[in-house]
Amino acid sequence: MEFEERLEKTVHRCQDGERAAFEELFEMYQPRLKYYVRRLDSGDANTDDTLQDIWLAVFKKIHKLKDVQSFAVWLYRIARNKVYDGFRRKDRFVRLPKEDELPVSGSIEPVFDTNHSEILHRALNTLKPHHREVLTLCFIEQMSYQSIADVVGCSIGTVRSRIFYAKQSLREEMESQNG
Amino acid sequence: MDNNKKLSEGLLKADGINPAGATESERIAFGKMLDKQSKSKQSKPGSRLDICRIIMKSRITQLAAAAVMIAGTIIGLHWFGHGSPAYGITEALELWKNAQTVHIKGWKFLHTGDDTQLQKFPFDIWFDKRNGRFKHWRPISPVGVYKTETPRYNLTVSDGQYIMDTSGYINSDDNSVPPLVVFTKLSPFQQRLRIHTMNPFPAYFANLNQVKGFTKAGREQIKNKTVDIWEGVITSASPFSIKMKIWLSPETGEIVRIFTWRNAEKNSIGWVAISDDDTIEYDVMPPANCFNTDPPAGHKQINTKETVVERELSDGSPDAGFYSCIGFTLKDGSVIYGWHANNKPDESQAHLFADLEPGGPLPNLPAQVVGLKPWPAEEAIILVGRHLTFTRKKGKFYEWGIYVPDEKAPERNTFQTYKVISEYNFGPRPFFDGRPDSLGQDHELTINSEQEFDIWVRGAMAELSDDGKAPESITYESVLQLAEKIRNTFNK
Repeated sequence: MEFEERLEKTVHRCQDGERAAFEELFEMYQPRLKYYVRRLDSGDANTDDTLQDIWLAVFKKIHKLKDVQSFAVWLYRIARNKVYDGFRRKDRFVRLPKEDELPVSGSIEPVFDTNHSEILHRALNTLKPHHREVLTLCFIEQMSYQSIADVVGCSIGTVRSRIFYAKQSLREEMESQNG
Repeated sequence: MDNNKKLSEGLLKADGINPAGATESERIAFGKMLDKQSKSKQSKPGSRLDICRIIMKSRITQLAAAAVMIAGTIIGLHWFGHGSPAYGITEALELWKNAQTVHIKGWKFLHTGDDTQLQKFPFDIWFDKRNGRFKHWRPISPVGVYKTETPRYNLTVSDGQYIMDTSGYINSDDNSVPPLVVFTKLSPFQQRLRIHTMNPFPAYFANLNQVKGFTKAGREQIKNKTVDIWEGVITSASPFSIKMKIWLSPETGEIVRIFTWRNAEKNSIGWVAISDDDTIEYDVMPPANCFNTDPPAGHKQINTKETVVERELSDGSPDAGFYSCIGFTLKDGSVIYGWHANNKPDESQAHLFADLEPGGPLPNLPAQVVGLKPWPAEEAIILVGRHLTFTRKKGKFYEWGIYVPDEKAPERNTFQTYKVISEYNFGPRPFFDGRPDSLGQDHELTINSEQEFDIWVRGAMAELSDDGKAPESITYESVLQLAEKIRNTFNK
């Protein structure tokens, strides 16, 4: 069964309150969700608590989800909000990106060798948070620009611009790490 | 396995996460959570009000982003005329320099979830250059994302000393936007800097070559004025280009309207409208209370004018402990750049600055800006960093490096910014990095004279000194001589 088809059925079962379905959903998304939360709230010792909060919210709200096919966007929006809630509780100032649909310029977007995921992972961690976030969604969920825009809460143009510059920075960082 | 999955799994493994599923301890914790929720009568889905909030983007720096096109823009549309006596952007900017106020209003085009569907929403901007005041009101997000009927608007107002920025939270349950207000306070130096860099026009003309291809497309009457219409593509932005149509009065040099498009994506549907600045007025009287920074009704205040502390002249991430302050390009192409790096605020760095010589190595700080790189530039020219001087304020040490090009540097008006080449000296880079990657456009000036040097370079050093004074040895001539000396060592 294709992933999307399996996911849709699982979400419907969750909406019917089936416990096994929640466990299945948890298995399907927990690893990638953890990666995303760590990128957003790096260095925080309470990542596990944040993940628990996210899944609790999923459990409580999944019956409200009307468009089952948008589950991933819905899930990552919950995750993002939970991380930001944590920032506010800790009075942590969240630096916000300055650009808004800046004209992307220069060369064509770089592509990355999937065989070098360790270098990519290290380089990803050095990016600005808002760059790191969009690339993480792009890399681990292969989300469309529109889906990323829906998660992050900005326009598709901003996402496009952000990903373009993020990839430029990532390439430069990988080159510098390679000497 | 396809490449996307391989990439995803590779990243997870690199972070010590098993892509196949949750860990045993996570399963146990999740199971307990399910047990608890199942037993709880109050665990009925949806019973708890969960206010999820997202801080919306600040628009403060939109003004600054438009600010420093400076020299590149001042070149302007002289090419447009091809011998025609018509006024160009040069003159338009001169008008701006002499204008007390500029008012720009028009329409922003926002996506509604599909590039083919745009809706237009009004915006309104006022500049009062002499007093450093501005008001910026514009829509900031697409309609579709939060399923709201109208876009969110951001209001940023400055009375010269304070900047009031409205942002908002999103309540994901009902899509409401409870708004908030944040104040920023500028020092007298920062107020002067803002006035100096304030500019009402788009920042797309960073490069002389970008407007070369503009051509006159016609002439028409707007509000009883005869205006020439110039059209062209900002060339260096290709393949993701910006196209502009500019209505310019050949009589007075006034830009009276600008329409801007963006090429959405290579091989995509083509030009997409961004904005129509359909009204541009000079020296008109702003409405009463235009620059009033009292918080709008119904806004929650994060801070107040009374509680906000003066902003430090720097930009960076506390997580990285690495801050960019301000940079100055001198006439020989070298750059004075102020920055500081202290990831342990209580630890004095005095010993690291004790034996430094002008022209010698940079201080051995936890992070260093070892070089600068003009960007975008056809050739990879590196400006190599050497120590110039340092200042100290409130226990922090600020390094002022001199960055000298190893080859002839491109003219400052031929590139947009300097990329920062940085190194961390101790251990791995901070995980949550956020280190500066380029000189901020609102914090970089070109210095062409001794007078400008004294006002801005020495002014910035004084701003970041406890005694409010710049080091006496730092003068325009002494710095140029030092840069020449450093350059000679490269040649050898």
